[in-house]
Amino acid sequence: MRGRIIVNQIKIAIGLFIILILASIAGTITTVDIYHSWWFITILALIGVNIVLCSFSRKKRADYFLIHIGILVILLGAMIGSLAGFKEYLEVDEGQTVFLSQAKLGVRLEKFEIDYYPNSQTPRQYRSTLTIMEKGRSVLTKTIEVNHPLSYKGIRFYQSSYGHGKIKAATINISKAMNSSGENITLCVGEETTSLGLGLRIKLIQFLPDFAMIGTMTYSRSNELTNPAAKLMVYDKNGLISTRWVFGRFPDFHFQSSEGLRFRLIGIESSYYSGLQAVKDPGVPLVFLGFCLLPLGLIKSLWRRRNG
Amino acid sequence: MDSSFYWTVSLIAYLWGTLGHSGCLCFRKQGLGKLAFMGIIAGFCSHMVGLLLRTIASGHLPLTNLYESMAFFSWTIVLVYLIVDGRYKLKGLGIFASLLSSLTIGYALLLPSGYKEINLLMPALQSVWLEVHVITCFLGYAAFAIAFAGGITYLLKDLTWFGQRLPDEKLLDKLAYRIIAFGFFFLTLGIITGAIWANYAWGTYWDWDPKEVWALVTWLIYGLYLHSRLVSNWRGKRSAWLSIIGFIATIFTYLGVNLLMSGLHSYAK
Repeated sequence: MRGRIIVNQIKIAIGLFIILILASIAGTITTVDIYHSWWFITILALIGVNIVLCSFSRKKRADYFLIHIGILVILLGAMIGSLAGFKEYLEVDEGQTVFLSQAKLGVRLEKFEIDYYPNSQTPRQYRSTLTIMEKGRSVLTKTIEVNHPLSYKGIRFYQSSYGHGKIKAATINISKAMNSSGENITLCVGEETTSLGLGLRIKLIQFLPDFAMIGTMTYSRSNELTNPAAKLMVYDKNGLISTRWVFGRFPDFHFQSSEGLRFRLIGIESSYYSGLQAVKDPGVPLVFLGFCLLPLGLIKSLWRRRNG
Repeated sequence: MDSSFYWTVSLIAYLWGTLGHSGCLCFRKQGLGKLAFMGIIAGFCSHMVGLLLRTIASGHLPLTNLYESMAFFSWTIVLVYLIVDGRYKLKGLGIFASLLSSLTIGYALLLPSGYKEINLLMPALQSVWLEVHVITCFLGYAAFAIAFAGGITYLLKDLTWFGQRLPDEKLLDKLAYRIIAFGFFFLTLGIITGAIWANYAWGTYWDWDPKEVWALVTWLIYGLYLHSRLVSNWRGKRSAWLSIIGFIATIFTYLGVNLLMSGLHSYAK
């Protein structure tokens, strides 16, 4: 009788396996997030119930018991994490303090650094020196890197990405002809020059670190200064005469402009922002416990089969 | 000489292994089988020299892009085949095992030169978890490849004139089961080490990234395989088909996801 119940449970398990396989595949094809939908979670819950019914009636086999209890513990840990944890992504400029919305903590970015591989634009490592603020006081200062987070009261801070934050200033050279040295102006985004010697006023309205175009839409392809470009508005005493892009890598692009002027982007002063991931997940210890039990059970069953 | 020379030598040796084993089966010449086996051993050694040279040249284990990982995958297939062959001495398995390793190392060698450059490791990849994660995954993949060879051999028994010369059905079925149990253990370790690493690097052990989902799908298919054997009428042919479907999912996890979908593993081009 007991044997038949177990065979039926295993048949149900096979059915659940097939359903979960098909549902998981469906999730990688559609753009809809099905993995957090009620019906997907129901499948997982049914599998949990099935495991309890199956494995507890076959308690005598220590290996199977370890494997299945391991899976249950992982599912339980995941549930706790999704109910009692949070995840928050922050972009912080140097010197800036931002506050977590889901915990009474603030984090200030003291310093951000990037090491590059020799003779290369590829970052080898990047790091942020962070100060954790609690109730208006700094409680911890530590440097984090990719793969080396910091932890404070169950909340972990990860170095997740970085990018060029606000451009502090762009320096542009304007000259009348190829051979004249012209005039340098340094502007922040949104800033405007006073009248220049050439009788012009110039306003810097936008800056892109890695200029690219789709149709007429301009955007930045990456956060690296691969193709820096500044958008200028040029005025004379009668008003706006042109709006133009000026490129750091291609100084003579658009050189023969209607005004007969040559614009070159010769310097950029920018600051980085650091992308931080703040995570609280009280389910992690349970999940990691499951990560130990599951392979332990598997190796035990391999061993038994080898000797049996 | 660089690693591609040694890998070309092993490609030739594996092709010889495929031919020799096939010839052994067709003409019932045992000597040919022995020569084929020795060829595979020679190829395996040359393959390993290539991997060592690549490691010395790049300063890290050859696991960080498609070219390197394909060469490593091919090597693990031969490794698992040699272990299995040493224990069970099965005819027929050598044909598909050496064919699979020829295909994988051949694919690596035929990649455009842009794929073969030595990578500068991005920060997230600079971790011991990279080695542990990739090696355990590939041991799993290789075991599934050999089980796939076993499954094909099983199905060919009914279909072809040389079927009776292939190993006994029961033995093939049992062997595939053991190899899959072995591969399942390593795939489990591979997924777990990936999860632990992701938790260190990004703060999430599971993110439903396409690569993660397809690894889970593969794991579930083999989980289904292992459970289905507890129900008697699933053994034999159905099991053989499952080992084939499982290997297709394995290959999709390894290659298809990177070619067709974007996600956290997209650096592995």
